[in-house]
Amino acid sequence: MQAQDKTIPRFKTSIDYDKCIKCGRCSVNCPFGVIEFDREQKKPVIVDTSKCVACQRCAVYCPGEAISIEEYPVAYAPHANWTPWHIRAISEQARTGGVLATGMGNDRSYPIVFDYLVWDACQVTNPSIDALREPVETRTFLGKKPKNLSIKEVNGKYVMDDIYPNVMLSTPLTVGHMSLGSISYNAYTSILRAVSEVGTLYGTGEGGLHPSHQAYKKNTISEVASGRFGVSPDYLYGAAIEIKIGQGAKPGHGGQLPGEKVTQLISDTRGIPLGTDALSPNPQHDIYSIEDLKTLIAALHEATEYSVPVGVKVAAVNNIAPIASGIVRADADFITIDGFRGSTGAAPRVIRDNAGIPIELAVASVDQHLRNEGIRHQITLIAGGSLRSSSDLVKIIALGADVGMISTAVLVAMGCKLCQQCPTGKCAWGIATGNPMLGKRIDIDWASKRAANLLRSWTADLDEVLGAMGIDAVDSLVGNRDRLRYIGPNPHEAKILGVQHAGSRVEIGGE
Amino acid sequence: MKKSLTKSFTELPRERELSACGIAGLFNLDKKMVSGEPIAKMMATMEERENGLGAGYAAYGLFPKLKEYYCLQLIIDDEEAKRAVEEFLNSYTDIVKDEEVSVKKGVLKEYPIVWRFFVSPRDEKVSPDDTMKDIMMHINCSIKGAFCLSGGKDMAVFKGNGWATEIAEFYQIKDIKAFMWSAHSRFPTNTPGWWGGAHPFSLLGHAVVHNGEITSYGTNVNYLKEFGYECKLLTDTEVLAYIYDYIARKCNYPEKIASRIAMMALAPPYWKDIDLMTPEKKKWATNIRIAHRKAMANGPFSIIITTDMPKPTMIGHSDRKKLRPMIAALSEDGKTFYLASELNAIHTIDRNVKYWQPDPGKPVIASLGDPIITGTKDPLEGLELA
Repeated sequence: MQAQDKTIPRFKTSIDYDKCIKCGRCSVNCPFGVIEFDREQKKPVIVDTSKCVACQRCAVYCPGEAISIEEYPVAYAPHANWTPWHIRAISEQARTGGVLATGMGNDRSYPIVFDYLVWDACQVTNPSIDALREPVETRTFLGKKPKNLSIKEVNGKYVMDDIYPNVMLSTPLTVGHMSLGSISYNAYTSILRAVSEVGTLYGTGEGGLHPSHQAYKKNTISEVASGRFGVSPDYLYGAAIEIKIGQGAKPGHGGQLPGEKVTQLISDTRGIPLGTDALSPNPQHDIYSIEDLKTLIAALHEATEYSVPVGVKVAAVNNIAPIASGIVRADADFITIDGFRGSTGAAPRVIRDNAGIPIELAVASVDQHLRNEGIRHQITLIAGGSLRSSSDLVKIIALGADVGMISTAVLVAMGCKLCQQCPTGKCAWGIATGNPMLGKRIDIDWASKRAANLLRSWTADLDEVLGAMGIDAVDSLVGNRDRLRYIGPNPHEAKILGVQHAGSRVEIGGE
Repeated sequence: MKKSLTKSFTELPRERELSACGIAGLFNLDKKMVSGEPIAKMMATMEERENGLGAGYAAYGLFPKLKEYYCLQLIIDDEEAKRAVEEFLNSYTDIVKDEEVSVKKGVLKEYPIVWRFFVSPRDEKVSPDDTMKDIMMHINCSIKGAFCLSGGKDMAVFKGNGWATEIAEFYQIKDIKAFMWSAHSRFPTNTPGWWGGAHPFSLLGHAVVHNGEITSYGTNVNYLKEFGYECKLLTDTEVLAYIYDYIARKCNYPEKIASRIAMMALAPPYWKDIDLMTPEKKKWATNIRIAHRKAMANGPFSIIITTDMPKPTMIGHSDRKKLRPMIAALSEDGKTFYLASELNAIHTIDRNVKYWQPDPGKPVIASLGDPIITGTKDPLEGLELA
């Protein structure tokens, strides 16, 4: 590497030696090689601040609060068009000649539609409900809903036929797909434990379910992705099956787990030989059309004797509404839509940052389209990518989703600081890493409690909001855009959302 | 531009009704004809609950000689609108008879023409009920200056803008005889002056009177639209009438239990109670909630639904927390069934009734010839389920 290859570091790490107790915890904790313990001087020293990613691990673990991390204080000559972001990217591309990889969700400053929405509450003409004292229900069922029930009268007895399989969730909130491999064994186990405690589901991600996780099977959505890794007849009998067509962070893209990351653990889970590359193709090579998708859905229904709901996950793209309609007509029991801010363990930056559309607009458009076609009632609509708070959850449900799906938020609950280094496998917090030494940094008891707390906290928030809206079951919030108002700058956006402007009493009615 | 009394959305802003109200029902279980005087008296007693901006009455058993024909009772702004309605009806139905509904002059300052048509739908491919539903919706949404007050058989709705006593006098309710009555007086918080916005709200032979505000309106409207119900009249009550019609009539449930299922969908048992039910009942309650989840009406309401389908039935229902009042009563001889917002309304007519408080979210159902479902047990009680 020549000197010219170098770019200015992004962050400057420094140690205040007046406060430092020279314990060396920071150097042990830094997996990126920023801090090392100097045995001669008997103190930690910054050896390469250019490697700092601001993961905060050293600073959090420093007992003396001696470490500070700041943006590197070197100015770029101001240029509104050629920002430091562009200069750094070009420098990196020129150095490597390759595709820039990144992790987590789209970090660009697009408008966030959620932040332009507010909701309604009861005053005078209807009473609000005290969620702490009166029942407010969040129980939700995932699966296909019949148009009406089939009931017959037989000799004075009323007989109701069974309906499609539906999975009970205690809250309209699930945890999205993160495979074992994309996150560590301990992180994975913690999430499984959290969802089973709370009574909801976790997506297995592409790559199967490890034999030691069988006890949590009924709290998992078994992903069937383009590589079919880990798919076995037994694996399909989770709570639900999800065919993964796309992911919000990388629509139109598949995934790779390089051979060096395919350890014994991954090999056992995915059912592939140790050390082989696990390449998930961009498309599913047996699905080149909607009729192909229908065939796979039918095959999975058959394989599980129609006892497990089969859904399809797609990234939110321009044409999402007719795509969703096709999926319903292909006999899916639920649809998961992942917005363009959804996260990833590894994706080309150019795709992560530019492909797809915001989940708010996608859900509004899909919900409206399916209603126009008279098929909305059949399907459970799950939406994620990205819900950052319980308020985003309330808003996405009011826009038309049945269930909100979160992943990044759960990782943050377990310590993630969004440093976006997931593809490096060096996660200092022991989350996005296959390195067992780093993975051990997640204490399963602690992390599962934190993740469960997050799910409970958002559900409690939802209770409170429903109560204030005078609604005592979340069913009555689904698609209830009447209770939302738009306060953003763009009336056209409000129209797509089907939400009236704040302050307006004008009824939108049907069209 | 001349003010329209029939349409809210031609000139007034399109706002949804938010109202408090008084409601009452009177049902002679022997099908004996009763004058409208008692029900009018019941409403007069509850004057505190209204503010003079709308009231109405629904009456069943009015046209024994024409009972196989649908009676479309309309309010019409002018002759032009009447011609438009007639023209429209002629293209889809045979008009058997039409007449002006007599009203008393000098009671209300302004009022529209009230006219009724007895019709028989022509299209044989679609069920007559569905044709009539579409005809009512078309008139209400698309024909300027006309509004359908009701469209069932052997029944009609009499409503308008004014105090309950004024509306009773305007239509000479005491001279009308019916075996089943429901009534409503409004305390709207907006859109005064619109006759169509008064209750009872009727579709086919159903009439709904409603006290409350539906907080699930947006969800319900979306659900109903999937099944061909256009909610364009901007009243919560409209939503309730369509939910009832969809579940009790369109879903083809066994006649005897269809209205119970509709009521359960509207205000289902809590999950915590469902979890404690017997396995069969649990399956029924769970599946009803799953299949009709978006038919659930949230927010405070108490309602009286009267219908002639499949046979004369009066239902009283409230939200799951019973945030609006509803009291039921039976006369000493067990022949007259009453529902009202307040007990005094019933006592005005009969001091010796046996009265009771239906439980929150549990329907009271009086159906001609069947024992009364009292609303003190869950609505599936007494049925053999599998």
